Amino acid sequence: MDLLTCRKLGRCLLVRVHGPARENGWLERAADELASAFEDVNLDEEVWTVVLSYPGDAFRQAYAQRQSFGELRHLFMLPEVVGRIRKPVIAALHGNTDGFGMELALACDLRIGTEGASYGMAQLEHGCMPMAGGTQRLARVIGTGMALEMILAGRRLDDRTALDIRLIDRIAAPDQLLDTALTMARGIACCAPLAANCCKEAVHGALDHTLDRGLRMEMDLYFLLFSSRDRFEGITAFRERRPPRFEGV
Amino acid sequence: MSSFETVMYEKSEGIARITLHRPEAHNMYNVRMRDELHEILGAVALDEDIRAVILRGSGDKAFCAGSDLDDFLTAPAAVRARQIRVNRDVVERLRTLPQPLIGALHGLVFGMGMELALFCDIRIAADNAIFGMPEVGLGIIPGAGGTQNLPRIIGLSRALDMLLTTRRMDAQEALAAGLVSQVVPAGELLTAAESIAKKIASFQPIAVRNAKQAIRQGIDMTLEQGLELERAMAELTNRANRAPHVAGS
Repeated sequence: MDLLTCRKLGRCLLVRVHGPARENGWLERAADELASAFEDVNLDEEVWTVVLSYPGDAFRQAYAQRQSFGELRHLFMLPEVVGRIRKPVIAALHGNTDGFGMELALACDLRIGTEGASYGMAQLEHGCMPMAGGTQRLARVIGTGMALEMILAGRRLDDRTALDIRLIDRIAAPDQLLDTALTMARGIACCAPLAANCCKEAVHGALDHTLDRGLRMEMDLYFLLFSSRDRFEGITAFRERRPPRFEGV
Repeated sequence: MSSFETVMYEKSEGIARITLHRPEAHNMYNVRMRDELHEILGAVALDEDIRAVILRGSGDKAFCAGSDLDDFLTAPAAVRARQIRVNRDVVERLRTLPQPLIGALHGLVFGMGMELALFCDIRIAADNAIFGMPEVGLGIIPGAGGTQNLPRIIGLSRALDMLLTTRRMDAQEALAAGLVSQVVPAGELLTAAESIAKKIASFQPIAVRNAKQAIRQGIDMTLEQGLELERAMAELTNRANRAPHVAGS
């Protein structure tokens, strides 16, 4: 079986990582293939949203076998690659999700998990610490208190708790996971993609700026969108009480 | 009661009440309302007698259902529109308002209505309130602080969920998300807001203003800078408290 499959479904790029696999070199291949799957996504005008689906423990085995930072460096670049995607990215997580699997999910905008799954960030149990953004992104998503408890005390969250504190945004039955993610992606793709991308940029930027600077950034993005045809279409459609036909321009 | 057209303004016993007043149009924010709010907020900020401010909407349908498309979305050139915004910057007046702002939210709280609510320091909702950010579905993004305040208040995940999927929240979900701190029956909304305002107005006004400033500015600083700001504010507060005795002796 291929390590991963990439498919375009309408406006959505679906990237599925199969696994977990245990043969030598899987981790390096996974990192390389994922990085190349996302390489052109910002330039591809057919793609408005991305769904990244993987078993939550896909990287666990490979990760446990290699400890040195050098060996894992490729992998650690992945959340960076995902974080630089300017379009909305939805993570669809099969089953229990830990460590690097969580770090990758945290680089996405929205996360969908499966019923009964649990979530952990207990790299300390293996003698290392989160290195792929976990110490930075986890606290931004769920707050400092719970992030510290997950990282320092190895607390695992069950699906309901993870949903309550919005570590994950939806829970789906395992056989409904992809459908749920694709439905959400289609919902987002009903919106104007340039506006969605600007919105994503502004919201992520909010936590990195003072309110004063952030408001300025938002204002500039807001007025930048005046130049898009979709803005005219969105407003016209609203007034004519019909669904808009956005084109991404 | 002053003679504004789209906003009712009134103050008594240290409490100012700003009421969005276009009930025939769900209190939608238009150019006139922007200019009147700009004027009112400017005056409130300078009024030493005012210790707390309540922001609410007229009628029983809506706090504010968004911006009036007729006024804002058929816009002049982007650069000109941005210049107008900077010249009549209601957002900046809200951001820098020294007194606590209490939002009493009922019915539709959409778009610009949400953005006004998000600038409030305390938000309470009637049980019939519905919250939504429909902007990206119209090909635009929030332009009055929505992308910056929302993640600060309800966290990154919920903010992205609300903005990218344009999913609405009812009052109970808003309470669970921390978007509002209290939900009351619609008939008791104003009483509840008044009682919060009275409580705040009963405190030492300098202490209230300085506490607000320390929290608002501190959240954007490093902890070290925030602690320094808090110490400076506390010292100012203590000095102000002692001043009347010095003058009277």
